[in-house]
Amino acid sequence: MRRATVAERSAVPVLVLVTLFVLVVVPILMVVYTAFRDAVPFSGSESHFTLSNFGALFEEKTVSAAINTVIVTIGGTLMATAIGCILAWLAARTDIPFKPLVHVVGILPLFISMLAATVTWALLGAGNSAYLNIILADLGAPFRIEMRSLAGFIFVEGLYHVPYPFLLVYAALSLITSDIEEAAAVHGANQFQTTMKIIFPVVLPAILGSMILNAVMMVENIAVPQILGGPVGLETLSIRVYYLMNRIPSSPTQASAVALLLAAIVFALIYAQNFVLKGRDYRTISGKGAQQKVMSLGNWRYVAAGFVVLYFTVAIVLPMLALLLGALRANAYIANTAAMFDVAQLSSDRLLSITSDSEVINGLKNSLVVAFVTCVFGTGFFFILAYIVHRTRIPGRKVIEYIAMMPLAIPATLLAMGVLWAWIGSPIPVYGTIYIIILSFLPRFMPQAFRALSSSVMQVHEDLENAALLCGATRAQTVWKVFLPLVRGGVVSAAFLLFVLSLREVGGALFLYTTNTRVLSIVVFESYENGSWDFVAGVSLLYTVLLGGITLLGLKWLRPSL
Amino acid sequence: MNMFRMGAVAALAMAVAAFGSIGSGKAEDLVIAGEKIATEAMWESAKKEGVLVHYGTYGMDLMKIIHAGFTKDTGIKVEYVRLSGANVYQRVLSENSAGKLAADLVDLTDLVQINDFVAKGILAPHKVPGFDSIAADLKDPQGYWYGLVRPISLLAINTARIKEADAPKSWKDLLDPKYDGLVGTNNIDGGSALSMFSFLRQKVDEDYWKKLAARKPKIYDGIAPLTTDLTRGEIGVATGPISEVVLSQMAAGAPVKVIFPSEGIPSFQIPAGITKTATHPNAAALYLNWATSKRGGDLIASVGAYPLNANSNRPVKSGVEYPPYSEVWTLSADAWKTNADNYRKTWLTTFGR
Repeated sequence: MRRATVAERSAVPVLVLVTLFVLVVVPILMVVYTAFRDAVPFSGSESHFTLSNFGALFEEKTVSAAINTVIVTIGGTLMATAIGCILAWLAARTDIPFKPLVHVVGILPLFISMLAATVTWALLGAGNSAYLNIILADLGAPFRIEMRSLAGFIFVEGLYHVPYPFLLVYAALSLITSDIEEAAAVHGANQFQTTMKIIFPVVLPAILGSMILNAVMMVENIAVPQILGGPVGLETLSIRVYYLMNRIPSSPTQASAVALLLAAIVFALIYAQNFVLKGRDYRTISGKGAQQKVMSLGNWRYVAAGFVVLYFTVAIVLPMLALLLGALRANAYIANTAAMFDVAQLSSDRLLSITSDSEVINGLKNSLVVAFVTCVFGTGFFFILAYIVHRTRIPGRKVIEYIAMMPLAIPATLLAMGVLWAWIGSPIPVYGTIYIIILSFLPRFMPQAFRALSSSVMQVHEDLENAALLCGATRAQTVWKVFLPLVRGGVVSAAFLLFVLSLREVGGALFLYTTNTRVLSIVVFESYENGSWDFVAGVSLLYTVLLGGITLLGLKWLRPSL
Repeated sequence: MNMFRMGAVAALAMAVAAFGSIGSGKAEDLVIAGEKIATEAMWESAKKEGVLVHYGTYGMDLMKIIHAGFTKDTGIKVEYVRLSGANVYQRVLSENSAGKLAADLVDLTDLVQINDFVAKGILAPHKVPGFDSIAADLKDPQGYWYGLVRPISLLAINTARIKEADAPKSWKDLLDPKYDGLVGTNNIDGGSALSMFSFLRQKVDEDYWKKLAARKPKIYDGIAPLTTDLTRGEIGVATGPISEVVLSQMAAGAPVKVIFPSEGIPSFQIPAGITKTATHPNAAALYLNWATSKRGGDLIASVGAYPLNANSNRPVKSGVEYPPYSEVWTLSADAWKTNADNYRKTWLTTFGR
């Protein structure tokens, strides 16, 4: 057998690293550079070095905004992680009734963009005229719900960030062989002990990974503080950055400086995660087979099912009903519970006109193209990166892990500007085409996809690949024929994640779309800004139905263990 | 910039003007209801260009109606990219310095920013046919921009929360403690709110902001959440550039009503200009001519904003006729330049933002 030369062996990694640099590092560097300048790149003004942008960090109100951010992030992350882990465990390892549906419930909230979710919850639970409060008042209940509070922020964030812990923990759980659990049982452990002492530590990387992902996404979220916090003056750090970007006079240079602070926080979190996980072995897939044992819940099955139904109702059913009501009602005023369901006020005209609206149809076409390309290219590329990080000894591979998380720290609109600055001056004519939007979405969703793929890669024992290599397979053959089938569940989940995130993304496309490349999320966002709530509700509803349909079709690929 | 082409167009236009009677055999000047919108040469060149690329800030739904009227009158299609004011500004600057500015026509919500475009050489001047009769505050002296569309700020009530008899009739009424907890407004961010708060300070009461802030109004980031809360009755009175949305909601049966306060109505102009690098310069010039004409003005008025041309119809929307042009107050470019920064800072402090 001829041995591959050094040049041949390093060709792929070098190509991958160069791609990573161009795709992700350059836009980020543009943002970092901007933080130290007194004018933005390509502004037509001469720019000089300055540190004054960092003054934005010490402004009044920044401190209280930072405290609010910490409270909301911790509360929201704990809530999302707890619900996500319970759902994942129920779906993967118990005999809960209608198991496949539990899986759907864990993923469904992904389809609802944070903008739609927050607007919906503002209508459901903000103020006395909120749907739920109207019902509570008519029932004579002595209390009301108030979403325009930190508790409301935590609730909405926690509710809709459940899919990340669910997907990651589910993937991890479905890869653990029951041998380990049986060994524990043989040594006298009961099921609870086994779960806490054996299973929990093994899925810890997935839990921590999703917690960090969620925490950073909550730190960066704009919709919640804007829509729920705005009217009552409750602010977080992200909304301050947003104002720096979007208020006039806007200051992208200061926004970049604040983004660097957020990036520093992200680094600290990743470092802490690596510290916790250091020195442990998470390889649970070996050559010995992966028989899975299902835990019998007994009568608790019904309690568990009740929990799933409750979460489903609160996260999906109520908001969907609110959207349906919004789409069917001619106006948003509702006097009391009876008026809420007054059929005379309802009309399907608007909803039907949306399905034939040319803007919606073009937007949908563009969205599907963008989502498909982002999904296919992103999954392949980020898989290779995850493989390089966890499976090779290429120098500098650990840096990739940090780079992979960086885009999370940078607010979407700012990262999109970085992409614009990176590509607008380039001789490759992507600016003004649909490809620039894909180039913006790839770095934007790298953290989510890379994280999902990494935790799958980490679980497979090298023995399996080494066996294949020893038998004469090339590295590529080994990955394709041995490794990939083992992590299929994780890869498909990541692909799906990329697809869905691309379909609903707004901020990453804002600076980059043209008349002909407007994606559906932008069409919705514009209508929101115009104040046409019935249109927003209608499109969001159709959107969700579409995405729900896609999932149901792809369900069998998403459940590797079944 | 294609100086040659602009030059050629101008020369051709002069030639046509000189020998107009001879050359008007086949093609014709664009004349609507006795008003000349464009010369034959400009119209023909614009038709050859076929399309106009417009980056702007005015709401998509309403702009679509205005653009459709333009297309119907001239045969020129419009591609509209709608962004927030801050985003149009950044995007135009970036595209321009990379030599890739795709827009033929840009508009913004801030006069300081549009004058920055002029200073940076991004815009090209163009004098529309009725240039001299346009009020000085609504145009650039050289014709670099025109305040084509002027949305207004006013009061609106939800009649389920506030009886019509109890409704505020003036800006001063809004300060009445009986409305405590019921009032919502926009933050000063955009040009519309800046104009409104300038008006309140300069024309109603020097201490109006302090007095309003003391009543602790709810402050919304944008028109959508403000009008949604008004319609569903979470607040009883709203102030801001909300006439178009509130009147649409009223027509849809919501218990809302607009009030034109007695002290006058602040409007803010959305200044628009042609880019120097325009690929469709004649289409853009034709658009400016059309939008400043009575005909274009009538169409702009029909969506609920004041046009620049005071000979146009008064705006009417959902059956509500707006006050005469004389009652509309517009913030001038000079006042903008002098006050904008200072006002925004003071406002944020006053309202604790």
